[in-house]
Amino acid sequence: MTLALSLAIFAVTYGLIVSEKVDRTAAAILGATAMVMLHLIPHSVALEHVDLDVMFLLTGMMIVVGILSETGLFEWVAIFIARRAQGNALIILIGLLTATAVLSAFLDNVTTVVLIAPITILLTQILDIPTIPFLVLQALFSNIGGTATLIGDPPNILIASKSGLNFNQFIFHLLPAVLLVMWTVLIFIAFTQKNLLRTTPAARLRIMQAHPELAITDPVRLKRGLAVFALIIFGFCVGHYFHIEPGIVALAGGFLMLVVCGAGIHGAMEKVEWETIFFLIGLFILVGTLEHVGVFAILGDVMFRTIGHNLPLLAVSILWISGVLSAVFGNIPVVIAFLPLVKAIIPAYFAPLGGVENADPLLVSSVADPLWWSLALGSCLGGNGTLFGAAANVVVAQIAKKNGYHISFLTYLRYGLPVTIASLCICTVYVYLRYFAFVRFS
Amino acid sequence: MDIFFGKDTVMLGPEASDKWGLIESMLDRLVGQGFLGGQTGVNRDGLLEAVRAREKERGTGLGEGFAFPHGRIHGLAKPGLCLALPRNPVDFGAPDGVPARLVALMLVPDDQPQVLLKMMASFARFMGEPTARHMVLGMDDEELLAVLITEKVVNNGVHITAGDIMRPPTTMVRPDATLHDVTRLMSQLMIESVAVTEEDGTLLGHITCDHLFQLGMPDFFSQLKSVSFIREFDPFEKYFAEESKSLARDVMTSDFATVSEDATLLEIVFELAVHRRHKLYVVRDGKRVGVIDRSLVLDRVINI
Repeated sequence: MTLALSLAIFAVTYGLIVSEKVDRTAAAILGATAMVMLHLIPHSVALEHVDLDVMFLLTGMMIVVGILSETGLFEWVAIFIARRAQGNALIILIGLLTATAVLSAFLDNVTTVVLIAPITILLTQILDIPTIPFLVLQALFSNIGGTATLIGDPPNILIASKSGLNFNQFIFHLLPAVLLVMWTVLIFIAFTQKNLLRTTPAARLRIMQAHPELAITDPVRLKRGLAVFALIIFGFCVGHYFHIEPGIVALAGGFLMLVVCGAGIHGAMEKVEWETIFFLIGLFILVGTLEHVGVFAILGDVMFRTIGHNLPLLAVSILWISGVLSAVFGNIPVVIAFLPLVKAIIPAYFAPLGGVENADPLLVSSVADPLWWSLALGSCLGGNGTLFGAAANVVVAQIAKKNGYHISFLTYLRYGLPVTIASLCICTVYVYLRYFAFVRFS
Repeated sequence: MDIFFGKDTVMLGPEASDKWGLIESMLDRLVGQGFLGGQTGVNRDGLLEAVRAREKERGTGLGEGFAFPHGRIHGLAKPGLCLALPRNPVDFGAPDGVPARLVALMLVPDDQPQVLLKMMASFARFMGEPTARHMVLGMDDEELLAVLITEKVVNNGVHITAGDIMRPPTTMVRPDATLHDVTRLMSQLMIESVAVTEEDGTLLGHITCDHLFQLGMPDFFSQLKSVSFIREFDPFEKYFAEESKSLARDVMTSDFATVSEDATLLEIVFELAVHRRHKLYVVRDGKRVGVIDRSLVLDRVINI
């Protein structure tokens, strides 16, 4: 009864979130409170499922981006690229997409597209070239770039908090896959979009007369902000050696930047997307309840019984299933639902071998880690599949609409679907070759 | 209101060649009747200086043959009013150019500006009725006039309302006017906003310069921190040209504030200051009957 009721509330809430009939944050919070009020999960256990480290990481990085964005850094990056490309639209597109991916790797990718999309629209208007392909590809590359690091995309932040994998491990294991995907897509764009991006000499001249240095509105704040930002990245890299969680590094860094740059607390707090924070709180409690009543233990068992000890197949299944579901339902809810599932698969895998406790920790991580990387790649890159797959896609479509450009579901799909299928295929090969082709599991 | 006023401070048919001659004779009448009795630190010259200072800022002729010279005096014990119907109309620099046939000289302590405002509003409301105006201007008995003004104006105790201070509506556009025509009208009249109304005056919306600039400045510009880095790109003529055929009904906004004629001064200032409105439309049954903007409030309320 408890199990059925929990699943029913979860299904209704999920339906409301996906249908967008009500605000997704309100739906998640109401669903979560229903779980607690009906005593499907004890209050204290529900709160334990809310991962404060994730909240701290998101809040800290939102403060950081808010302060850096005020300096004109993002305008400078775009104009600098455009000038260096001497107005060649194809080179500008490739440069901007690469910059978007790099920025998204170290900043929240929704914020990255919010900051880079306006200057992209300006550039396309100056060059008199189509704006929509630029914007759609930018959303895709923000998700691809965000896949590379622990802090780049919310699914990775969530996976890091549950798996115990650190910042360096994320880069070491995910960056090669991301680079492969990026280069494949860029080469594809170079061949297919060439004709679309023809520019006139007059338009190119306008770009050459730009002054990127004038984009920096507050050089002092920018220098200070970048210094603190470098300190934050350093903190992420070395934090695990001192048992300091990324959330604490980000939160401390955000408030340090606030002090060092002389930014006001009210302005900084306004940059924090509180609706995202509360959406995650709701989802944590919703999924935590399902975990509490044993749904994921059952699912993990079923999945394991179906696939058996075939670890490569298990990893590839997680990669594709999470990818496809992320494209349909959005990657944040999917990854939150998959976290306890993957956590349930690992003990099930070791059960015939005497349990996780009795297994060699190295063997446990060599089994568990590929599953986590598959989930990260699947959910982050799967988010590219449809307009609703990732928050960045929706935000780009909203920015476009406000400026008179309509990015329909199908328009997005024309770019998103092939990129996602190609990405997941590349990742399948990558995961198999890197983790299974040359390793034998007992 | 406790005001120094009576039949002895009503002057019927005084001779005056100009407004200062009339004002000085009215001051003499007030002082002569004991307006300053027992007060130290305030004298006739001080009163005249205050009225001169106010008159120097801007003429106090209100139009339609009515003038309201006044002064705010530091240390004055109570307000005083002197009413004059000069034999020959006197020029007070009214906006309509009509010389004053009824002059009300009002002196108030400097910490009681609301008395001035109420009196001015009360006079305007009373004299706004043609029969009352005709009756007052035709009177030949100081005592009767004093009783009438005391009853209808001095003791009326009215609140200042939107109807007292509003300007009559002058400009508007129809909903099917093109944006090209709207912008031309606004630039010719040098106005920041214009109402969009039906034939019968029903208020549908308004268009402001902010809206027009937003149309000429696409949304993405609001996300940029500056545009100084790109100097050879000036697309606004193109943006405006794209919009110029739009109709007023397509670009107007319903985000405007209305007040009724009996809205109090506090309500008006609250809307202007707290809700940061630039203009309030005074409406009756959904139809625009007047306009109050910030400059009007400064003119008629704060700068009295």
